[in-house]
Amino acid sequence: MGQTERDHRPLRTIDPDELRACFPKLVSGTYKPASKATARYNCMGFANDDERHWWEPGLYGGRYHWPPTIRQQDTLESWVELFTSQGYTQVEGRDIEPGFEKIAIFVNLTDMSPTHVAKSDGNIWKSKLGKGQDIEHISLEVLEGDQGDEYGVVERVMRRPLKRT
Amino acid sequence: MDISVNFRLFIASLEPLPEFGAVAAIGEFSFADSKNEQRKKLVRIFYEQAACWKAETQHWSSVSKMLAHPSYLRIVGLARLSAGNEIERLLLQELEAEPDYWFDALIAITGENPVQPEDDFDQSVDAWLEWGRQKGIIAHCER
Repeated sequence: MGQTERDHRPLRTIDPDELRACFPKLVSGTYKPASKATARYNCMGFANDDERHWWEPGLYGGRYHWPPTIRQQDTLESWVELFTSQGYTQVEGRDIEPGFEKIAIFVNLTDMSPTHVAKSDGNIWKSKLGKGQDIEHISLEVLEGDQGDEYGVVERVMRRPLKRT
Repeated sequence: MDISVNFRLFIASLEPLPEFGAVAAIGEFSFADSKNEQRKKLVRIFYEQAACWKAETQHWSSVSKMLAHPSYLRIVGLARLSAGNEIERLLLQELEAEPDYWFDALIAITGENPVQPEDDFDQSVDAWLEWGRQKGIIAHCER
């Protein structure tokens, strides 16, 4: 079983109005849908170019992943530790930088727990919205806030030189 | 599969269903209700809570937090009101229509886990659907 059934498994397409209800700043021209919705992977998997696993500390089994050498805690520190282990260093600038991969970690405004990570390939910001879709977005601001499903504020930006292929 | 085990222990430790939403759900049932009326109420509450859970957690990055959402716990609590594998059928139909993290609810309700430790998300979905077919729970069901 599996492959045939899997290939035909329905994935949800998120209506723009539905998305804007959750993220009020995601108006036309600020973002572009880049996939259908799927619960296979989350923003952390997406930021690590892994679209088969849900990256979360403390969860085990084939559908989850978290590097065993990184603290098994869902904290800003462990998220930073993970990206540091992959060659990222902290920077102040939130702008896209050609020649650099960047990640931006969002935190909850109430308890400063990490809520989301966006990535940039030097051209545009990209995000996987929870169990929703991947999007490309022009800025980090469009996902900041606390009115709907926004992810709070960007607390940490990190970068590493873009790998040349 | 520690998350599953931990979740089951969590649910078990809460007996008898202390979660507010779950208690409220039971309150909607009456001994005077016919079996058919009770089934209709179960189905209605299930879809209300499933819709709420999906809407409120769809953009979260943490499965652990999703499983602790009141609507998810309330759905697990509905098992006590379910007859003839109705709650399992609803969950499996939901899993088939729109794959999501229903695995731990199914483990908590059935006490079984057909998923192998190495199975990815799609294989986990397939394993539960096959389990449901083998048990005759979703063989001929249409939503």
